[in-house]
Amino acid sequence: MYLKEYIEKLKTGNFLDEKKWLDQNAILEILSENIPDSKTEEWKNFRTNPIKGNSWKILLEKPAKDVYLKKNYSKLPDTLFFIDGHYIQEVSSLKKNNGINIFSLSDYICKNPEFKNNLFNNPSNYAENRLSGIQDKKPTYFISLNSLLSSGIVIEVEKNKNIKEKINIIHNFTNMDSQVVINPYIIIICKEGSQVSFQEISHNFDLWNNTLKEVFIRKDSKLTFASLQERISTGIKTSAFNCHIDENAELNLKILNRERSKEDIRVFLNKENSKTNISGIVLSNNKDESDVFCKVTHKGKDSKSDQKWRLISAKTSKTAINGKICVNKNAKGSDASFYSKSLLLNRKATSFSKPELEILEDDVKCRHGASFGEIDNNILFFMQSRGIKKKDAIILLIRAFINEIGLDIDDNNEFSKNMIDDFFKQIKENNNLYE
Amino acid sequence: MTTKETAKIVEEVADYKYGFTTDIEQEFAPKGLNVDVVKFISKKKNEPQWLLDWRLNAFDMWKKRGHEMPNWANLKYDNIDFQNIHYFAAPKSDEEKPKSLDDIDPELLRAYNKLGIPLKEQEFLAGIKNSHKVAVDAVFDSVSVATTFKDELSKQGIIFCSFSEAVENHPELVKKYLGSVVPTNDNFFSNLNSAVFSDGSFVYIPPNVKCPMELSTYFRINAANTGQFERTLIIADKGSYVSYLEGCTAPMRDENQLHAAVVELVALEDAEIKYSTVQNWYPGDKNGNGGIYNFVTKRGTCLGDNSKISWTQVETGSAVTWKYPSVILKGNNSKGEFYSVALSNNMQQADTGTKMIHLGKNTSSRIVSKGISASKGQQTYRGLVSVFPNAINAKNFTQCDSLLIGNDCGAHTVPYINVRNELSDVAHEATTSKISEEQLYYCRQRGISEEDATALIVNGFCREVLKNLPMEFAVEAKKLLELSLEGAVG
Amino acid sequence: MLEIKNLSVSVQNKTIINNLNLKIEKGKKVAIMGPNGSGKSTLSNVIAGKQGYEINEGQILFDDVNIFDLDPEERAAKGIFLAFQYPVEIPGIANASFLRTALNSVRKYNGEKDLNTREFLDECKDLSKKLKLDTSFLSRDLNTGFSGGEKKKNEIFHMLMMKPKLCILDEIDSGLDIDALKVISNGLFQYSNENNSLLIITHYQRLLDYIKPDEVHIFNEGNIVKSGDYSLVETLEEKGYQEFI
Repeated sequence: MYLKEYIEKLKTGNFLDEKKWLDQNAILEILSENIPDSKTEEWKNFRTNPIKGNSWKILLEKPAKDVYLKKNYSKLPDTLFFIDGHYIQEVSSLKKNNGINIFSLSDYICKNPEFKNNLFNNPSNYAENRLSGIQDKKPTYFISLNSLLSSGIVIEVEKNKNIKEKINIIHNFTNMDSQVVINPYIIIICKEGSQVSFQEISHNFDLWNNTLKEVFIRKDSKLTFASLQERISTGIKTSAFNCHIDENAELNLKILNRERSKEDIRVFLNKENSKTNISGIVLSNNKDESDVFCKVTHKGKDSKSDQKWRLISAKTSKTAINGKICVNKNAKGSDASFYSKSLLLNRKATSFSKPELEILEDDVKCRHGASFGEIDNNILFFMQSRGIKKKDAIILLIRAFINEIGLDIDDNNEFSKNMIDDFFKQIKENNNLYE
Repeated sequence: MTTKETAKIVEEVADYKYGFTTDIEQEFAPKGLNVDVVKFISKKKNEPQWLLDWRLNAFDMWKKRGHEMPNWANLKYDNIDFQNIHYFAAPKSDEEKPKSLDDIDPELLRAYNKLGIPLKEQEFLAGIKNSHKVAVDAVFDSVSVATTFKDELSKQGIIFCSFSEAVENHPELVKKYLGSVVPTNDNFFSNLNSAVFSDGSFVYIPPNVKCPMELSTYFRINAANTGQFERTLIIADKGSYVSYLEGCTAPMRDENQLHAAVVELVALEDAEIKYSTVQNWYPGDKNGNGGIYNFVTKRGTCLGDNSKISWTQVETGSAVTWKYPSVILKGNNSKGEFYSVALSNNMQQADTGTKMIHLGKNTSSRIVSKGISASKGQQTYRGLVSVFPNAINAKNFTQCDSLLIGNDCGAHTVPYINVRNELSDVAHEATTSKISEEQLYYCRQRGISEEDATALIVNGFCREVLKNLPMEFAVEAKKLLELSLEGAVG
Repeated sequence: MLEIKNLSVSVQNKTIINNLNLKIEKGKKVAIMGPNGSGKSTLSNVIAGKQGYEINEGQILFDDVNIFDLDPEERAAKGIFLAFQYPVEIPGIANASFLRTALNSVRKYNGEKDLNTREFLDECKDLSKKLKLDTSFLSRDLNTGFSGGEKKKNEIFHMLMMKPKLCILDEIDSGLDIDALKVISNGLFQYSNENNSLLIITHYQRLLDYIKPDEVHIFNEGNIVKSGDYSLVETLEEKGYQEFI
């Protein structure tokens, strides 16, 4: 079915019985077709024309069994499989009774009706006063679309469970139709006193992947979440990550993003002593852009945030980071820092950085910095004089640049290593490196 | 010009439908902005046809904007009714003027006394009835000094005069450079200014001349009502140097709510321009009533190789400040600098910063911004560093620090950094801090009062910028900071 | 010179100093020793007038005048000097210029004229030579980027320039190497005479070996548990605080 058709049906009403939790404003948002463009500050560095100019098809049903069972899936333990955006229990390998429970969102809301008030699909929840003074709700188009089209999966971590095994979330794609939009929607709730690590791997795709993750980290709990994106050859990724952190709770977020992607991260340190560490690597090649908007809002006393970003653009590509730190009034004793470093590998590569601060409380510590640089010629010469070929030396130095921040959540993480290696393979083919 | 003549002009330029009024002492256009008013201003100033055309063209562009003021800044203010403003000489009638200093906001008087301003000047600054003549006598010294300077400067071929004089005597220079740095259509306010600018300063430094003194509009009293839509143009020819000071440390009580000046600097090969500002327009009272809206466009072009432009500003006044002195680094090896201290106390808001546009090879820029917010003040640093593909080996260093005093103020930092070639080195650093209880206690234990300690710490915070000001200006700026901070502590 | 009578102090309803009585005579060197958390630093801050303490009872008389109602700067002007355990950094203000501001503020309070800048600088230089401090010490920003030892030396430098009547040293000897300790004790020798007094608050006996205080008090849970002369330091050295608390 085409998205347009679906929306036409929506207008006739009675179509949404199974989605009573969806905010009415969200539906209005989709009907308005308010797809942001470069006029919207936060979308300045990402071209949305390919999204605007296409007639998108939607997949309301799960892929057929014979389609996904044909594929070979890695035999990883503790894995949740998403195929074309739908959670497929049959191929997943999550152990029973290990402290993690999976629900569909509608079931979860039936059991906990008040939970729907926490969800972010409401544009008025989502839109906040922005520093520039311009208020718009445009980014919510994607979120609203996602929550309308996806059934949503709730992953709940039981109270006081310390889950030692890393849980994998793997996105696979069988649909090769580049006209298709898919909408994975994952909600993670870490209940009081729990501890868990997730690693989300997204494989290459050709379609438009519009994902939404909403995360709730309750009192005294701790979540480590690594989100790793493989090379995207022809698809488009728009992705939102929203996280709410309670008292003494902590989020460690690790991001690896590739070209043709736009990531929108919002972390709310809602209560006293809440904490987040965010480290991200943004890689871009050819003529594509990779754009990240990351906003951390300090609301609770003595909350802490730390962000480290590394951006690399090769050929004529663009990387962008818009990192915003807000310290609200009464968030006394907050401590926030943001550092980004960009590396451009070719003359025509571009990088954009906008580390914003908005401080409304005087008893805080805030630091931010951004730097753009090139590889130090002295070091390069030193390495060459030790017999290392120039290109290898450059690659080695770029690796060092990335390694300053770690993505791994355990010691032998093949995925992040392979993905970064893949990027290096690509840039090695690039003959004009550093010229 | 006599009253009769003015009346004649009015008849000539307008079909008289607005009923132009002629006052006994001064002539002015009616409120509002239209083609006739633009023509009136130009005619009053005896301008040549090309400048009138230039103004009319600007007015045309401005009209097309549909009165949409820019709204991207982090500022909240009432909409300005552009048809409710006098665009040419509109003094208050004597009845409306305060009769004596007794009628003036006592806070303002206290400020004058603290800054050591003589009584006669105080009366003038405060706009007291009949004070004009006396005040001119009081500043007679500086006027004559200015004339002496002029003689000395002209010996070296330096032109330093009012903008109107420059139009008359050096039209080729004005024609060549007017609007070359800030295009008419650049933004809403530069557009407005281009249509209705009143007067301002013009400076030309001939090749290889180092201007022997700091040029300055720093006379406590400028000609009344020229401040509103000022237009300044400074050209430093090859190998020359000039340092220009603008401003006034005394808070001028002004009836004009809106100020929209344009400053253009042009530095040719090997030339250097240093432009320092101390801005202390009336900030309004503690509750945010009154005060100046300051919407200024300041920009310089390093046109030639090895040229340099340096902006230093101390911004403590105005209710609303919207100001981004910028440098376009076009020539190879050219340098741009921006040093800023901005303070917002009480209900003041400032959205200020700079743009460094790197176009030439080996260009470098340096930005040091110190923002202080106290009481309910809101302060935004907004900056752009843009490195173009051909600006190989461009270097930028940006440091912007904020200091908050009190619990109701805010500091915002919005640096845009756009790099488009791989051989450049751009670094941005920022911190936000407060005056800690420990620092205050330590100072007080050494016998320094809380208020003095605050001023001391603020001065320390700003030192990196203040040291770039010419000596006597720096001393005044320090005093000004102390004064502007009063009431912020405790 | 200083007389503390029945002093009780609490912070957030927790009693820190409990009914303390202490007298420091003119010309005397007095040491207060005690384990961590015994209330020693609170005592020095209460004398200097730091805010945030609730005075529940008692008096502090300085030259027979109760100083409770005085601001810290007024107490400084009367001649009370506190050498901080953690001296504060103020970027952008040169050490010498800070000191001159301090001295002139005190002089103004006492109805004296401002210092002659030349004489002030000469005195600074002489003194820094005596203390074996590099002259760059004067032009560097106040305590900014100073090492721990340099900060403590700078406190002694301030003390000698301000010439207070009563000097309180709050843990001046913690974290110092032996050379810095010597510089500091030399400075204290220079300072001490029959007209002024010294109150040394410390955890260790190291500095006391140099200074040889006239009176030693052992402090615990907000009060003096044992008093004596210098020999008490030696006893403490042998037996530790456990013997007294």
